[in-house]
Amino acid sequence: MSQQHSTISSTNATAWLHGWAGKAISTQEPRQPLDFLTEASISQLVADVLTASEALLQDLTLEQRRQLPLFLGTTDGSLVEDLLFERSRSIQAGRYASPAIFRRTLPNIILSEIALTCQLQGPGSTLVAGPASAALAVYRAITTMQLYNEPLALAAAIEPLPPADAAPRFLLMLLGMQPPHDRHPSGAKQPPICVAASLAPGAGGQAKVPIHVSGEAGIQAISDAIKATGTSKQTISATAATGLTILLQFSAA
Amino acid sequence: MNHRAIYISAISATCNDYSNLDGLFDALLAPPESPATSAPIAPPPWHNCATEWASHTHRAIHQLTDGRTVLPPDCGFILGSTKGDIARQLLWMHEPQPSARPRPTLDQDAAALARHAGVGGPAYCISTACTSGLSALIEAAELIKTLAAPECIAMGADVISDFVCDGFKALRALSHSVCRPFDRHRDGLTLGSAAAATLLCTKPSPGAVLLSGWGAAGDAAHLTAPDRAGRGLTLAIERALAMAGLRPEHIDLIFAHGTGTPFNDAMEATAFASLFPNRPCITAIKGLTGHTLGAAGVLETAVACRILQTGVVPPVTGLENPDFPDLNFVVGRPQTSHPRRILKTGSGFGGLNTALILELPPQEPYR
Repeated sequence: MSQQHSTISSTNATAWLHGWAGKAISTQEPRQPLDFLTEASISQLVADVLTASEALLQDLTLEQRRQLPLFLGTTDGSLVEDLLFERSRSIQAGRYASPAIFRRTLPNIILSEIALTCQLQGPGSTLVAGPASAALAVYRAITTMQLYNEPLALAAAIEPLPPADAAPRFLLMLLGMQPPHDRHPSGAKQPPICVAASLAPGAGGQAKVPIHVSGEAGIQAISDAIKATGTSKQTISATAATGLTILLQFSAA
Repeated sequence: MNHRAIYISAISATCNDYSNLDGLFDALLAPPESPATSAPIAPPPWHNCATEWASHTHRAIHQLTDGRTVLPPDCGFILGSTKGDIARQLLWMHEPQPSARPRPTLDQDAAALARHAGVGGPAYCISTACTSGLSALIEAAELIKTLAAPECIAMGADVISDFVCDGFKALRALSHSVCRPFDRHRDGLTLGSAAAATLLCTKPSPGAVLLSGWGAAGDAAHLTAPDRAGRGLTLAIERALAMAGLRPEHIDLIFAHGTGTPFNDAMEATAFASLFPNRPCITAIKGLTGHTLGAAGVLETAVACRILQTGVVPPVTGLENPDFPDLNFVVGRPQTSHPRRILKTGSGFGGLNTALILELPPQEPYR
């Protein structure tokens, strides 16, 4: 993901940011080698995501919760749980394979936990698009609202692996077709933020699988763009392994 | 936005030992004297799964594009999968220092398969547990509707590995004998390997099937167990019917998820009984194919298309003594009932539920 100012010729969809939350990791936090990962490594992230989700969606009515479309973008998905389960089943020829961990070896489980905690019954999708995952979730949330005339949608991005830098590990965005009336995303004095999203197809046969993929970079770039929108228009682009590029533009109304 | 209808214009599938959809469909129609129920399949060691993944996915792509040499260059590609090329991920985990190596991700599998298909439109992976295949079909249809791609391949693929097998064993979800969906003696699922692909477009063509409605909904009841009342599935079906502009009595056939686990089948039966007072026929095929996880939705949609094209409905494979006598299961022999509208459903971990409505286009004769 890179911050830049450019245009992409494709369908453009816009929405308003009704609220957002993200988790930053302190630069002082020690990095964990994969060998030392435990269930506790993931449980704190899950707890933080669920607490933030409840706070973000607390004003939604029952009917809004029943309809709210949900999109999660993730690069690594359930890789931590996969590692833990593989470790558990490697002991004594699978006899100690943990059913509790196996239940979590699916990338969509964290989105389902949000749905369960906040009693959301809208359609939910987990999208894996490398560095474009977070931006793709935002794009699909906005286009889904347009396609079905839904007033609100939730876009989330969550990366479970220990961060390589001070990147946030999750991002939650409540988006609406209309500007928010009674709530401001980042303080009462700030004007509402408009989000425009567009998609450019990939490079297909010419695309190369990148050596490194980083979903955290996507989450970081979007978080930074939202924070900086009060002073200037922010444009970011994210490109997946296939060349699929999502352009997001944040501007204050 | 694109307001034109969405058609499934090409289908392909490969499942376990069945190398194409025709072979699988013939086996599903096998007479009851030689029941084609699946035996539990021993999983290959994980390092052999790579061959199985490549063989299934590449075969499905080749069969889909056979006879149709020119796909639009900006054709999209959506892969629905729970674990993707799991051997690649396990290989990484068994590295002495995995963190020093690039991490394998599901979008890389989608990218490789899109390259193999030679398409250059939007391509990525959608992973929604056992509804991944149906979710891929919905994602592909919505990409076309939102003008992100003129046509789109929706593919579902997953292969058996000892990783997944040990997991289902730990959950005590595997059958001790054979998979018997909706049977009084059902005791769990069996697993299968498959890849299936569909091409979605907006142009009707001979043999194409209309994808007239779709819907998805969450149970919001339990993380891994289905909602006993089937509320999420009911909501997903209602959303699909509403999109298609249909009422429950318009559905001729329900193609159920039918995993053969006690709770899933009971949940589906509850939802079907409450929504369909006219009791349309119900079929399910996991007794033959096994549960192919992320592939199941596309695989079963391909079979549903074949049912619409031929007019012949396979029986619920493995079903001998229905546990839900008030429902109208196809038992024992195939039925030549010429359904015109099929409801395809799927449910998965996380309380996800998905429904599609597949129709013969108006005036389309049986072939």
